[in-house]
Amino acid sequence: MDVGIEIISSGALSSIQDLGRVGYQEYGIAPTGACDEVSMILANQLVSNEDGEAVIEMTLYGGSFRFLQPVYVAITGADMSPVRNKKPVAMYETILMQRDDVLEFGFAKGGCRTYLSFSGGILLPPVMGSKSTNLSCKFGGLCGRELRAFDQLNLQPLEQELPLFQLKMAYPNRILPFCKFSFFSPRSIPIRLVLGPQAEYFTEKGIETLRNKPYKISLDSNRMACKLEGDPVECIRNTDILSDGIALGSVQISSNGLPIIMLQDRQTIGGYAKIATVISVDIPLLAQLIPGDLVNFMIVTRTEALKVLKRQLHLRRRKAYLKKKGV
Amino acid sequence: MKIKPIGDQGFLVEFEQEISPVIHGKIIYLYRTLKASKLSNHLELVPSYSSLLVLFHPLLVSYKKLEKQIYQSMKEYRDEERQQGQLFHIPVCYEEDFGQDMEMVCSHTGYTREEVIKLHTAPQYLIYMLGFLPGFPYLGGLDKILHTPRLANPRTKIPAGSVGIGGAQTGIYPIESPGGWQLIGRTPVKTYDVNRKEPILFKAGDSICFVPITKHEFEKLEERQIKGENVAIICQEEYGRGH
Repeated sequence: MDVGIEIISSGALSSIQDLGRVGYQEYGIAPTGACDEVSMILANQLVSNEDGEAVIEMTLYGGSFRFLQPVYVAITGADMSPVRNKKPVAMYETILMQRDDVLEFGFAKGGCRTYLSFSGGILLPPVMGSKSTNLSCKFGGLCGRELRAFDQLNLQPLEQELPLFQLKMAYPNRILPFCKFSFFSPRSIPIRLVLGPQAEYFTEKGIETLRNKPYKISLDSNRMACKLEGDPVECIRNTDILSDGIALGSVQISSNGLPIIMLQDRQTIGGYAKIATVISVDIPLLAQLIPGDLVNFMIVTRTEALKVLKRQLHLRRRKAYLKKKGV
Repeated sequence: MKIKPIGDQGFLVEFEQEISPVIHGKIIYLYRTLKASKLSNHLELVPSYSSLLVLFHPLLVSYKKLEKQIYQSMKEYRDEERQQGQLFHIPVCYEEDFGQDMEMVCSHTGYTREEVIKLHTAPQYLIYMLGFLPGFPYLGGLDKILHTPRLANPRTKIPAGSVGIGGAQTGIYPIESPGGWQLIGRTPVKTYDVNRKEPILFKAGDSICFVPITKHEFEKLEERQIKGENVAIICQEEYGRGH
């Protein structure tokens, strides 16, 4: 008997991601993992999974999926106008899919990435401790590549005798930063930075430019990096450094003076000076911006960044935003 | 030594900005000390030429405490204590089929093939860091005579195991990839194998020496690899002797 789901069409870029690979950056292997970790965790919580279970991440334009078994799913992130058997279905709540149901997604509105979770997760062997797809090194996920039509994913069979708590998110926009902004592009989004580690390579004027001028998300952006267009940031001599390690959210200034923000599939070391680092809380927000959106950088201290992070994690830990469906 | 914050995710421990085994010794000492510490499960460490990137969850690890611990360990460090990592013997076949650019290197340097092989296999190369591709070693110690500019037109496909020279650097391509280095040979050893328990053979701070082998030996080792034998370990034993 067939179990799982079949991919009818894959959309622009759909891949399997979890919270990423830990402990391999020193070997030159990117952590990968879901770009918008908050939406991805919420998708798992809505189907009573562990936070780090593997999900499907869709980018800009979603795919369509045929269910070969009953399973609970949840959809979070950007609104790709999901329909089940041609009828709209809700996001941010538990949905029971039946065998032969078809779930289809369209163009993303109000964001860039959408997450689809399955109760019990996706049955795949972890590679180096993670099911995330490493697209550039071609391992992890399904055969180390993006999903394609005719692929089949195995899912956990649904235990009928143990009906799942059907959940619903009470206030998605309180939890999800990107929902607070207009649905219509181009939007102007504040992103917070902590200066360093190589801010001393830049003039005061350069730092002022970064702080005061808007930057546009370039079409060239992908899971490796978010490239920006705008006024060049003035440096003292040049931005070449002895190559060193790169963190998630590192803001590199390349030789043309434009910022590049490093994301989950980044190279692990690089030779451009990093003027600042995006604070952890704003990474999921950044991951939901689409080409054409505008970014306004705000410089904060590490202490402020920690305060915001603590507040967000507290909110997430309480899970007060999850309500029983129908109540 | 300077400790610079990386947002709210950790810090960069920066040493003197130059490529030298003495400075790298400090980085490796700190890297190994942190790996052996109780916190190691919570840390992501990325050693490079002149710094160590230390990433952690700020609510699981105290920035202040770890910073103090690092200053303390570095106070105790003496250059004489510089620890050697593992030395890997990497067999390389320098014959024509694998060293397509050997002639280029010979004409650029003015040395014969035999002399180039001798110069390339003489040093113990220190692995400063891994990156660019999974397990790609950034090696220090290439003889100045062998420095050869990269190809004007990079190749779109370089087979895994290729050994090349790019400017002042030499290295091994862990996977098939595009690249512009002058290819002088190939090793049958898989420096990266996703299916191995430890997918990457090297760590920063280890060393490599190249051992010349014939095409016949190369083919024999490849056959054993296909049969499932761990050629990296076999070469360690067979070529390690007499060194």
